[in-house]
Amino acid sequence: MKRVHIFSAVLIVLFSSISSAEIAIICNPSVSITGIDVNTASNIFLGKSDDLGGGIKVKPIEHEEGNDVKIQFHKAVTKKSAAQLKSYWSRLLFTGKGKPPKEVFDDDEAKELIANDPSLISYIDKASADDSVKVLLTIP
Amino acid sequence: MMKTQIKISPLFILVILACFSNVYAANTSELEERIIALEKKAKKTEQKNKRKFDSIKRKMAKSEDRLRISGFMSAGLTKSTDKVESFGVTFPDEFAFDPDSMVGLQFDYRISDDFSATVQTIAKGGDYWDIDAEWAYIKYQKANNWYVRGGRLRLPFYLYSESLDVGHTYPWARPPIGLYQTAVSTLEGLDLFYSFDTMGWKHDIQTYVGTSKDQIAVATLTFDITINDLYGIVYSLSNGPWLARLATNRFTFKLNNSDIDFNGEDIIKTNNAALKYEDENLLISAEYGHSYARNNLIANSSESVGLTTGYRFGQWMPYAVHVSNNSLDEKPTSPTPSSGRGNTLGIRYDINSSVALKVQTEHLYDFEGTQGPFSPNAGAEEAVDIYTIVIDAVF
Repeated sequence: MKRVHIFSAVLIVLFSSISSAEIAIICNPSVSITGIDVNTASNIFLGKSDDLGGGIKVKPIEHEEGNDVKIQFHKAVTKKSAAQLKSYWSRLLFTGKGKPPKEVFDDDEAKELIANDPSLISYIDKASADDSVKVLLTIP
Repeated sequence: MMKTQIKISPLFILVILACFSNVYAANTSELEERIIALEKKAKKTEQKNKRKFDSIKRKMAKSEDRLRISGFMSAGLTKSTDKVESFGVTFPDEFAFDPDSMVGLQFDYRISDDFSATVQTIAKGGDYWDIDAEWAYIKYQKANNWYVRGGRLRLPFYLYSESLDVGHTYPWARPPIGLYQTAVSTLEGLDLFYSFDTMGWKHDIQTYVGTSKDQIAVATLTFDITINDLYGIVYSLSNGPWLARLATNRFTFKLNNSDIDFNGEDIIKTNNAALKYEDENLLISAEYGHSYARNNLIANSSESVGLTTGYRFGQWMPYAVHVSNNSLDEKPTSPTPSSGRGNTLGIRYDINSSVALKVQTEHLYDFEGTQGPFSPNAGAEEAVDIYTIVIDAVF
Protein backbone atom coordinates (compact mmCIF):
# COMPACT_ATOMS: atom_id res chain seq x y z
CA MET A 1 0.00 0.00 0.00
CA LYS A 2 2.75 2.40 0.95
CA ARG A 3 4.37 1.85 -2.37
CA VAL A 4 1.15 2.89 -4.08
CA HIS A 5 1.01 6.04 -1.95
CA ILE A 6 4.49 7.03 -2.95
CA PHE A 7 3.76 6.35 -6.59
CA SER A 8 0.68 8.50 -6.51
CA ALA A 9 2.53 11.19 -4.57
CA VAL A 10 5.22 11.27 -7.23
CA LEU A 11 2.56 11.45 -9.92
CA ILE A 12 0.71 14.28 -8.19
CA VAL A 13 3.90 16.28 -7.75
CA LEU A 14 4.80 15.75 -11.39
CA PHE A 15 1.41 16.67 -12.73
CA SER A 16 0.85 19.65 -10.47
CA SER A 17 4.11 21.21 -11.57
CA ILE A 18 3.09 20.74 -15.18
CA SER A 19 -0.49 21.96 -15.21
CA SER A 20 -0.66 25.61 -14.21
CA ALA A 21 -3.02 26.61 -11.42
CA GLU A 22 -6.10 28.74 -11.89
CA ILE A 23 -5.90 32.37 -10.79
CA ALA A 24 -8.69 34.10 -8.89
CA ILE A 25 -9.17 37.87 -8.92
CA ILE A 26 -10.42 38.74 -5.46
CA CYS A 27 -12.01 41.59 -3.56
CA ASN A 28 -13.59 42.18 -0.19
CA PRO A 29 -16.85 40.17 0.33
CA SER A 30 -18.70 43.42 1.10
CA VAL A 31 -18.18 44.75 -2.45
CA SER A 32 -21.56 44.70 -4.20
CA ILE A 33 -20.26 43.62 -7.62
CA THR A 34 -20.32 39.90 -8.44
CA GLY A 35 -17.88 39.73 -11.33
CA ILE A 36 -15.66 41.62 -13.78
CA ASP A 37 -14.26 40.98 -17.25
CA VAL A 38 -10.60 40.62 -18.26
CA ASN A 39 -10.49 44.11 -19.82
CA THR A 40 -11.63 45.81 -16.65
CA ALA A 41 -9.10 43.80 -14.65
CA SER A 42 -6.31 44.71 -17.10
CA ASN A 43 -7.13 48.44 -16.88
CA ILE A 44 -7.18 48.36 -13.08
CA PHE A 45 -3.92 46.44 -12.72
CA LEU A 46 -2.18 48.75 -15.22
CA GLY A 47 -3.41 51.81 -13.33
CA LYS A 48 -5.43 53.00 -16.34
CA SER A 49 -8.67 52.95 -14.39
CA ASP A 50 -9.80 52.64 -10.80
CA ASP A 51 -13.42 51.85 -11.64
CA LEU A 52 -14.57 48.34 -10.86
CA GLY A 53 -17.94 49.09 -12.44
CA GLY A 54 -20.95 50.90 -11.03
CA GLY A 55 -18.69 53.67 -9.72
CA ILE A 56 -16.91 51.44 -7.21
CA LYS A 57 -13.31 52.67 -6.86
CA VAL A 58 -10.55 50.18 -6.14
CA LYS A 59 -6.76 50.10 -5.85
CA PRO A 60 -4.82 47.08 -7.11
CA ILE A 61 -2.49 45.05 -4.93
CA GLU A 62 0.31 43.31 -6.81
CA HIS A 63 2.51 40.34 -6.08
CA GLU A 64 6.27 40.52 -5.79
CA GLU A 65 8.39 39.93 -8.83
CA GLY A 66 9.29 36.39 -9.78
CA ASN A 67 6.10 35.05 -8.23
CA ASP A 68 4.51 32.40 -10.50
CA VAL A 69 1.02 33.74 -9.82
CA LYS A 70 2.13 37.17 -11.03
CA ILE A 71 3.70 35.86 -14.23
CA GLN A 72 0.62 33.78 -15.06
CA PHE A 73 -1.80 36.60 -14.19
CA HIS A 74 -0.10 39.14 -16.43
CA LYS A 75 0.32 36.71 -19.29
CA ALA A 76 -3.44 36.15 -19.29
CA VAL A 77 -4.80 39.55 -18.22
CA THR A 78 -2.50 42.44 -19.16
CA LYS A 79 -0.68 40.37 -21.84
CA LYS A 80 2.68 41.62 -20.63
CA SER A 81 5.88 39.77 -19.77
CA ALA A 82 7.75 40.67 -16.59
CA ALA A 83 10.15 42.88 -18.61
CA GLN A 84 7.32 44.58 -20.52
CA LEU A 85 5.51 45.25 -17.26
CA LYS A 86 8.67 46.76 -15.78
CA SER A 87 9.10 49.00 -18.85
CA TYR A 88 5.46 50.04 -18.61
CA TRP A 89 5.66 51.08 -14.97
CA SER A 90 9.11 52.64 -15.35
CA ARG A 91 7.72 54.90 -18.03
CA LEU A 92 4.90 56.06 -15.77
CA LEU A 93 7.08 56.32 -12.67
CA PHE A 94 9.93 58.28 -14.25
CA THR A 95 7.56 60.70 -15.98
CA GLY A 96 5.54 61.25 -12.80
CA LYS A 97 2.35 59.94 -14.38
CA GLY A 98 1.79 57.02 -12.05
CA LYS A 99 3.25 54.68 -9.49
CA PRO A 100 3.29 50.89 -9.53
CA PRO A 101 0.87 49.25 -7.09
CA LYS A 102 1.87 48.04 -3.67
CA GLU A 103 3.18 44.49 -3.62
CA VAL A 104 2.45 41.60 -1.31
CA PHE A 105 4.70 38.72 -0.37
CA ASP A 106 2.24 35.85 -0.91
CA ASP A 107 -1.42 34.83 -1.29
CA ASP A 108 -1.99 34.93 2.49
CA GLU A 109 -0.85 38.52 2.70
CA ALA A 110 -3.06 39.44 -0.27
CA LYS A 111 -6.07 37.77 1.37
CA GLU A 112 -5.38 39.50 4.68
CA LEU A 113 -5.30 42.92 3.03
CA ILE A 114 -8.38 42.27 0.90
CA ALA A 115 -10.37 40.83 3.82
CA ASN A 116 -9.77 44.02 5.78
CA ASP A 117 -10.19 46.66 3.09
CA PRO A 118 -13.07 46.93 0.60
CA SER A 119 -11.15 49.48 -1.50
CA LEU A 120 -8.57 46.94 -2.65
CA ILE A 121 -8.44 44.31 -5.40
CA SER A 122 -5.86 41.57 -5.89
CA TYR A 123 -5.37 38.08 -7.28
CA ILE A 124 -4.28 34.75 -5.85
CA ASP A 125 -3.94 31.09 -6.74
CA LYS A 126 -7.56 29.83 -6.93
CA ALA A 127 -6.68 27.07 -4.47
CA SER A 128 -5.88 29.70 -1.80
CA ALA A 129 -9.32 31.37 -2.07
CA ASP A 130 -11.61 31.06 0.98
CA ASP A 131 -14.59 32.77 2.65
CA SER A 132 -12.57 35.82 3.67
CA VAL A 133 -12.56 37.07 0.08
CA LYS A 134 -14.91 37.24 -2.91
CA VAL A 135 -13.79 35.80 -6.24
CA LEU A 136 -14.64 38.24 -9.08
CA LEU A 137 -13.11 36.33 -11.95
CA THR A 138 -11.36 32.99 -12.41
CA ILE A 139 -8.64 32.80 -15.02
CA PRO A 140 -7.83 29.31 -16.29
CA MET B 1 7.82 19.15 -28.14
CA MET B 2 6.85 20.14 -24.59
CA LYS B 3 3.75 18.00 -24.68
CA THR B 4 5.55 14.77 -25.54
CA GLN B 5 7.97 15.32 -22.70
CA ILE B 6 5.14 15.87 -20.27
CA LYS B 7 3.43 12.68 -21.31
CA ILE B 8 6.52 10.55 -21.15
CA SER B 9 8.17 11.69 -17.96
CA PRO B 10 5.68 10.33 -15.35
CA LEU B 11 5.54 7.00 -17.15
CA PHE B 12 9.29 6.84 -17.27
CA ILE B 13 9.56 7.54 -13.56
CA LEU B 14 6.92 4.94 -12.80
CA VAL B 15 9.03 2.34 -14.59
CA ILE B 16 12.14 3.40 -12.70
CA LEU B 17 10.32 3.38 -9.40
CA ALA B 18 8.90 -0.07 -10.09
CA CYS B 19 12.40 -1.40 -10.68
CA PHE B 20 13.67 -0.11 -7.37
CA SER B 21 10.50 -0.72 -5.40
CA ASN B 22 12.20 -3.11 -2.91
CA VAL B 23 14.66 -0.47 -1.81
CA TYR B 24 11.84 2.01 -1.43
CA ALA B 25 9.66 -0.30 0.59
CA ALA B 26 12.41 -1.04 3.09
CA ASN B 27 13.10 2.59 3.83
CA THR B 28 9.68 4.10 3.46
CA SER B 29 8.56 4.29 7.07
CA GLU B 30 11.89 5.64 8.24
CA LEU B 31 11.93 8.17 5.45
CA GLU B 32 8.39 9.27 6.14
CA GLU B 33 9.21 9.92 9.80
CA ARG B 34 12.19 11.97 8.80
CA ILE B 35 10.18 13.93 6.29
CA ILE B 36 7.48 14.67 8.86
CA ALA B 37 10.11 15.84 11.37
CA LEU B 38 11.76 18.02 8.75
CA GLU B 39 8.45 19.47 7.67
CA LYS B 40 7.63 20.40 11.27
CA LYS B 41 10.98 22.08 11.64
CA ALA B 42 10.59 23.93 8.37
CA LYS B 43 7.13 25.14 9.33
CA LYS B 44 8.40 26.45 12.67
CA THR B 45 11.24 28.33 11.02
CA GLU B 46 8.86 29.65 8.41
CA GLN B 47 6.46 30.96 11.06
CA LYS B 48 9.31 32.54 12.98
CA ASN B 49 10.60 34.21 9.83
CA LYS B 50 7.14 35.40 8.91
CA ARG B 51 6.68 37.04 12.32
CA LYS B 52 10.07 38.70 11.98
CA PHE B 53 9.29 39.77 8.44
CA ASP B 54 5.88 41.16 9.40
CA SER B 55 7.35 43.20 12.20
CA ILE B 56 10.07 44.67 9.97
CA LYS B 57 7.51 45.31 7.28
CA ARG B 58 5.20 47.19 9.66
CA LYS B 59 8.09 49.37 10.73
CA MET B 60 9.13 50.03 7.16
CA ALA B 61 5.63 50.62 5.83
CA LYS B 62 5.41 53.97 7.55
CA SER B 63 8.54 55.46 6.03
CA GLU B 64 8.28 53.53 2.75
CA ASP B 65 4.84 54.96 2.23
CA ARG B 66 6.21 58.50 2.33
CA LEU B 67 9.50 58.25 0.50
CA ARG B 68 10.17 56.21 -2.58
CA ILE B 69 13.61 56.08 -4.17
CA SER B 70 13.99 54.61 -7.62
CA GLY B 71 16.51 54.87 -10.38
CA PHE B 72 17.75 53.90 -13.80
CA MET B 73 21.04 53.61 -15.53
CA SER B 74 22.60 52.95 -18.88
CA ALA B 75 26.14 51.75 -19.44
CA GLY B 76 27.10 51.85 -23.08
CA LEU B 77 29.96 51.51 -25.48
CA THR B 78 29.68 53.65 -28.59
CA LYS B 79 31.82 54.09 -31.68
CA SER B 80 31.27 56.20 -34.74
CA THR B 81 32.99 55.91 -38.12
CA ASP B 82 33.50 59.70 -37.98
CA LYS B 83 33.74 61.95 -34.97
CA VAL B 84 30.37 63.74 -34.88
CA GLU B 85 28.41 65.83 -32.43
CA SER B 86 24.67 66.08 -31.93
CA PHE B 87 23.18 68.52 -29.43
CA GLY B 88 26.20 68.59 -27.15
CA VAL B 89 26.87 64.83 -27.24
CA THR B 90 30.06 63.81 -29.03
CA PHE B 91 30.27 60.43 -30.72
CA PRO B 92 33.99 59.66 -31.02
CA ASP B 93 35.60 57.52 -33.71
CA GLU B 94 36.77 54.91 -31.22
CA PHE B 95 34.79 52.95 -28.62
CA ALA B 96 33.89 55.26 -25.76
CA PHE B 97 31.85 54.87 -22.60
CA ASP B 98 30.53 58.44 -22.38
CA PRO B 99 27.94 59.10 -25.13
CA ASP B 100 25.36 56.52 -24.06
CA SER B 101 26.04 56.18 -20.35
CA MET B 102 23.98 57.83 -17.65
CA VAL B 103 22.53 57.35 -14.22
CA GLY B 104 19.32 58.77 -12.80
CA LEU B 105 17.82 58.81 -9.34
CA GLN B 106 14.27 59.73 -8.45
CA PHE B 107 12.93 60.70 -5.07
CA ASP B 108 9.17 60.76 -4.58
CA TYR B 109 8.00 62.16 -1.29
CA ARG B 110 4.37 62.09 -0.21
CA ILE B 111 3.67 65.33 1.64
CA SER B 112 0.00 64.64 2.34
CA ASP B 113 -2.81 62.59 0.80
CA ASP B 114 -3.06 64.98 -2.17
CA PHE B 115 0.39 66.57 -2.39
CA SER B 116 3.66 64.96 -3.36
CA ALA B 117 7.11 66.20 -4.32
CA THR B 118 9.41 64.58 -6.90
CA VAL B 119 13.00 65.23 -7.83
CA GLN B 120 14.75 63.33 -10.60
CA THR B 121 18.45 63.94 -11.07
CA ILE B 122 20.42 62.67 -14.03
CA ALA B 123 24.15 62.56 -14.67
CA LYS B 124 25.10 61.85 -18.28
CA GLY B 125 28.43 60.73 -19.64
CA GLY B 126 27.78 62.84 -22.74
CA ASP B 127 27.40 65.84 -20.46
CA TYR B 128 30.64 65.30 -18.49
CA TRP B 129 28.63 63.61 -15.70
CA ASP B 130 27.22 66.93 -14.52
CA ILE B 131 24.23 66.30 -12.30
CA ASP B 132 21.04 67.95 -13.57
CA ALA B 133 17.56 67.98 -12.13
CA GLU B 134 15.44 66.97 -15.13
CA TRP B 135 12.30 66.87 -13.04
CA ALA B 136 11.60 68.79 -9.81
CA TYR B 137 7.97 69.41 -9.07
CA ILE B 138 5.14 69.47 -6.58
CA LYS B 139 2.13 67.44 -7.65
CA TYR B 140 -1.42 67.89 -6.51
CA GLN B 141 -3.64 64.89 -7.21
CA LYS B 142 -7.09 64.64 -5.69
CA ALA B 143 -8.50 61.90 -7.93
CA ASN B 144 -7.09 59.14 -10.11
CA ASN B 145 -7.99 60.94 -13.36
CA TRP B 146 -6.44 64.39 -12.95
CA TYR B 147 -3.47 66.18 -11.45
CA VAL B 148 -1.60 69.48 -11.55
CA ARG B 149 2.17 69.80 -11.34
CA GLY B 150 4.30 72.86 -10.84
CA GLY B 151 8.07 73.13 -11.12
CA ARG B 152 10.55 71.72 -13.60
CA LEU B 153 9.06 69.23 -16.06
CA ARG B 154 10.15 67.44 -19.21
CA LEU B 155 8.81 68.84 -22.49
CA PRO B 156 6.44 66.28 -24.02
CA PHE B 157 7.37 66.92 -27.68
CA TYR B 158 7.35 63.32 -28.94
CA LEU B 159 5.96 59.94 -27.96
CA TYR B 160 8.96 58.97 -25.80
CA SER B 161 10.24 62.50 -25.01
CA GLU B 162 9.45 62.40 -21.33
CA SER B 163 11.29 59.15 -20.67
CA LEU B 164 14.12 59.63 -23.17
CA ASP B 165 16.76 58.95 -20.55
CA VAL B 166 15.19 55.73 -19.31
CA GLY B 167 16.51 53.28 -21.88
CA HIS B 168 14.53 50.40 -20.43
CA THR B 169 11.27 52.03 -21.60
CA TYR B 170 12.04 51.86 -25.34
CA PRO B 171 13.52 49.27 -27.69
CA TRP B 172 16.42 51.33 -29.08
CA ALA B 173 19.93 51.57 -27.66
CA ARG B 174 19.52 55.32 -28.08
CA PRO B 175 16.63 57.52 -29.28
CA PRO B 176 17.01 57.70 -33.08
CA ILE B 177 19.30 60.56 -34.15
CA GLY B 178 17.46 63.13 -36.25
CA LEU B 179 14.11 62.48 -34.60
CA TYR B 180 14.38 62.93 -30.85
CA GLN B 181 17.18 65.43 -30.26
CA THR B 182 15.98 68.88 -29.25
CA ALA B 183 17.77 72.01 -28.09
CA VAL B 184 15.77 72.07 -24.87
CA SER B 185 14.15 69.21 -22.99
CA THR B 186 12.67 70.78 -19.88
CA LEU B 187 10.35 73.61 -18.94
CA GLU B 188 9.73 75.54 -15.75
CA GLY B 189 6.02 75.95 -15.33
CA LEU B 190 2.79 74.09 -14.81
CA ASP B 191 1.06 71.15 -16.36
CA LEU B 192 -2.44 69.82 -16.00
CA PHE B 193 -3.38 66.22 -16.75
CA TYR B 194 -6.91 64.95 -17.20
CA SER B 195 -8.15 61.57 -18.42
CA PHE B 196 -11.53 60.02 -19.14
CA ASP B 197 -13.00 56.87 -20.70
CA THR B 198 -15.48 56.35 -23.49
CA MET B 199 -16.51 52.80 -24.37
CA GLY B 200 -13.21 51.22 -23.40
CA TRP B 201 -11.05 53.93 -25.00
CA LYS B 202 -8.91 56.01 -22.69
CA HIS B 203 -8.38 59.69 -23.44
CA ASP B 204 -5.50 61.57 -21.83
CA ILE B 205 -5.11 65.33 -22.11
CA GLN B 206 -1.99 67.11 -20.91
CA THR B 207 -1.58 70.86 -21.19
CA TYR B 208 1.41 72.88 -20.10
CA VAL B 209 2.69 76.43 -19.90
CA GLY B 210 6.08 77.78 -18.92
CA THR B 211 9.52 79.04 -19.82
CA SER B 212 12.88 77.40 -20.31
CA LYS B 213 16.57 78.24 -20.32
CA ASP B 214 19.51 76.26 -21.62
CA GLN B 215 22.78 76.58 -23.46
CA ILE B 216 23.92 75.20 -26.76
CA ALA B 217 27.44 74.91 -28.09
CA VAL B 218 27.86 75.68 -31.76
CA ALA B 219 31.46 75.09 -32.82
CA THR B 220 33.57 77.04 -30.30
CA LEU B 221 30.79 79.36 -29.19
CA THR B 222 28.25 78.82 -26.46
CA PHE B 223 24.83 80.38 -26.95
CA ASP B 224 22.24 81.03 -24.27
CA ILE B 225 18.82 79.74 -25.19
CA THR B 226 15.81 81.47 -23.70
CA ILE B 227 12.33 80.09 -24.29
CA ASN B 228 9.34 82.18 -23.33
CA ASP B 229 5.58 82.06 -23.80
CA LEU B 230 5.76 78.31 -24.10
CA TYR B 231 2.51 76.43 -24.12
CA GLY B 232 1.22 73.22 -25.57
CA ILE B 233 -1.28 70.41 -25.45
CA VAL B 234 -0.95 66.65 -25.84
CA TYR B 235 -3.88 64.34 -26.51
CA SER B 236 -3.51 60.56 -26.32
CA LEU B 237 -6.07 57.92 -27.14
CA SER B 238 -5.40 54.34 -26.10
CA ASN B 239 -7.09 50.97 -26.02
CA GLY B 240 -5.34 47.66 -25.38
CA PRO B 241 -2.31 47.54 -27.71
CA TRP B 242 -3.22 50.77 -29.57
CA LEU B 243 -2.03 54.28 -28.82
CA ALA B 244 -2.55 57.41 -30.88
CA ARG B 245 -1.02 60.72 -29.84
CA LEU B 246 -1.30 64.29 -31.08
CA ALA B 247 0.80 67.12 -29.71
CA THR B 248 1.16 70.79 -30.53
CA ASN B 249 3.04 73.66 -28.95
CA ARG B 250 4.44 77.14 -29.59
CA PHE B 251 7.14 79.27 -27.97
CA THR B 252 9.42 82.23 -28.55
CA PHE B 253 13.02 81.19 -29.04
CA LYS B 254 15.97 83.48 -28.28
CA LEU B 255 19.65 82.88 -28.89
CA ASN B 256 22.26 85.12 -27.30
CA ASN B 257 26.01 85.30 -27.19
CA SER B 258 27.44 88.41 -25.51
CA ASP B 259 31.01 87.74 -26.75
CA ILE B 260 30.06 88.26 -30.37
CA ASP B 261 27.08 90.47 -29.51
CA PHE B 262 24.62 88.10 -31.13
CA ASN B 263 20.89 88.30 -30.40
CA GLY B 264 18.28 86.42 -32.38
CA GLU B 265 14.61 85.73 -31.82
CA ASP B 266 12.00 83.58 -33.49
CA ILE B 267 8.60 82.07 -32.89
CA ILE B 268 8.44 78.31 -33.24
CA LYS B 269 5.38 76.11 -33.61
CA THR B 270 5.58 72.35 -33.51
CA ASN B 271 3.04 69.65 -34.33
CA ASN B 272 3.48 65.95 -33.77
CA ALA B 273 1.45 62.86 -34.48
CA ALA B 274 2.23 59.31 -33.41
CA LEU B 275 0.62 55.93 -33.72
CA LYS B 276 1.79 52.88 -31.82
CA TYR B 277 0.73 49.26 -31.72
CA GLU B 278 2.32 47.03 -29.11
CA ASP B 279 1.12 43.58 -28.12
CA GLU B 280 2.90 40.58 -26.57
CA ASN B 281 5.15 40.21 -29.59
CA LEU B 282 4.76 42.94 -32.17
CA LEU B 283 5.77 46.59 -31.85
CA ILE B 284 5.09 49.15 -34.55
CA SER B 285 5.36 52.87 -34.01
CA ALA B 286 5.23 55.74 -36.44
CA GLU B 287 5.88 59.38 -35.63
CA TYR B 288 5.63 62.55 -37.62
CA GLY B 289 6.92 65.90 -36.46
CA HIS B 290 6.63 69.32 -38.06
CA SER B 291 8.42 72.40 -36.77
CA TYR B 292 7.73 75.86 -38.18
CA ALA B 293 10.03 78.83 -37.58
CA ARG B 294 8.30 82.10 -38.43
CA ASN B 295 11.30 84.38 -39.03
CA ASN B 296 13.60 81.65 -40.29
CA LEU B 297 16.66 83.48 -38.94
CA ILE B 298 18.01 81.39 -36.08
CA ALA B 299 15.97 78.28 -36.66
CA ASN B 300 14.64 76.48 -39.71
CA SER B 301 11.30 74.92 -40.46
CA SER B 302 11.62 71.18 -40.75
CA GLU B 303 9.73 67.94 -40.73
CA SER B 304 10.72 64.51 -39.52
CA VAL B 305 9.34 60.99 -39.78
CA GLY B 306 10.30 58.00 -37.69
CA LEU B 307 9.23 54.39 -38.05
CA THR B 308 10.11 51.64 -35.60
CA THR B 309 9.19 48.01 -35.79
CA GLY B 310 10.22 45.13 -33.58
CA TYR B 311 9.16 41.59 -32.83
CA ARG B 312 9.61 39.77 -29.55
CA PHE B 313 10.81 36.17 -29.49
CA GLY B 314 10.73 35.53 -25.74
CA GLN B 315 13.52 37.63 -24.27
CA TRP B 316 14.87 38.65 -27.69
CA MET B 317 13.54 41.53 -29.72
CA PRO B 318 15.14 42.47 -33.03
CA TYR B 319 14.10 45.93 -34.23
CA ALA B 320 14.52 48.22 -37.20
CA VAL B 321 14.14 51.99 -37.41
CA HIS B 322 13.93 54.44 -40.28
CA VAL B 323 14.19 58.18 -39.72
CA SER B 324 13.94 60.94 -42.27
CA ASN B 325 14.18 64.67 -41.67
CA ASN B 326 14.04 67.53 -44.10
CA SER B 327 14.67 71.21 -43.90
CA LEU B 328 11.62 72.93 -45.34
CA ASP B 329 12.94 76.44 -46.00
CA GLU B 330 13.84 77.31 -49.55
CA LYS B 331 16.66 79.58 -48.43
CA PRO B 332 17.86 78.11 -45.16
CA THR B 333 19.84 80.45 -42.96
CA SER B 334 21.52 80.12 -39.59
CA PRO B 335 22.11 77.68 -38.03
CA THR B 336 22.83 75.64 -41.11
CA PRO B 337 19.92 73.41 -42.10
CA SER B 338 19.61 69.78 -41.24
CA SER B 339 18.42 67.09 -43.61
CA GLY B 340 19.18 63.45 -43.53
CA ARG B 341 18.05 59.91 -43.25
CA GLY B 342 18.89 57.16 -40.80
CA ASN B 343 18.48 53.40 -40.70
CA THR B 344 18.97 51.46 -37.51
CA LEU B 345 19.11 47.73 -36.95
CA GLY B 346 19.40 46.29 -33.49
CA ILE B 347 18.41 43.66 -31.01
CA ARG B 348 17.22 43.94 -27.44
CA TYR B 349 17.74 41.09 -25.01
CA ASP B 350 15.96 41.16 -21.65
CA ILE B 351 18.52 39.63 -19.28
CA ASN B 352 15.83 39.78 -16.60
CA SER B 353 12.79 41.97 -16.09
CA SER B 354 14.88 44.97 -14.94
CA VAL B 355 17.98 44.71 -17.10
CA ALA B 356 18.16 44.79 -20.89
CA LEU B 357 21.10 44.50 -23.26
CA LYS B 358 20.93 46.20 -26.65
CA VAL B 359 23.22 46.04 -29.62
CA GLN B 360 22.58 48.28 -32.60
CA THR B 361 24.06 49.86 -35.65
CA GLU B 362 22.76 53.22 -36.86
CA HIS B 363 23.50 54.32 -40.40
CA LEU B 364 23.05 58.06 -41.09
CA TYR B 365 23.18 59.21 -44.70
CA ASP B 366 21.80 61.42 -47.46
CA PHE B 367 22.59 64.78 -45.85
CA GLU B 368 21.88 66.63 -49.12
CA GLY B 369 24.84 68.93 -48.61
CA THR B 370 23.66 69.98 -45.14
CA GLN B 371 25.22 69.29 -41.74
CA GLY B 372 22.90 66.30 -41.39
CA PRO B 373 21.56 65.67 -37.90
CA PHE B 374 24.84 66.92 -36.43
CA SER B 375 26.18 70.21 -35.11
CA PRO B 376 27.72 72.61 -37.62
CA ASN B 377 31.44 72.13 -38.22
CA ALA B 378 31.32 68.92 -36.21
CA GLY B 379 29.29 66.93 -38.67
CA ALA B 380 30.29 64.37 -41.22
CA GLU B 381 30.68 64.89 -44.94
CA GLU B 382 28.71 61.98 -46.30
CA ALA B 383 27.51 59.07 -44.21
CA VAL B 384 28.20 57.95 -40.67
CA ASP B 385 27.72 54.64 -38.89
CA ILE B 386 27.35 54.56 -35.13
CA TYR B 387 27.75 51.23 -33.31
CA THR B 388 26.37 50.85 -29.80
CA ILE B 389 26.23 48.21 -27.08
CA VAL B 390 24.31 49.30 -24.02
CA ILE B 391 22.93 47.82 -20.82
CA ASP B 392 19.82 49.54 -19.47
CA ALA B 393 18.61 48.91 -15.96
CA VAL B 394 15.84 50.19 -13.73
CA PHE B 395 15.81 49.78 -9.98
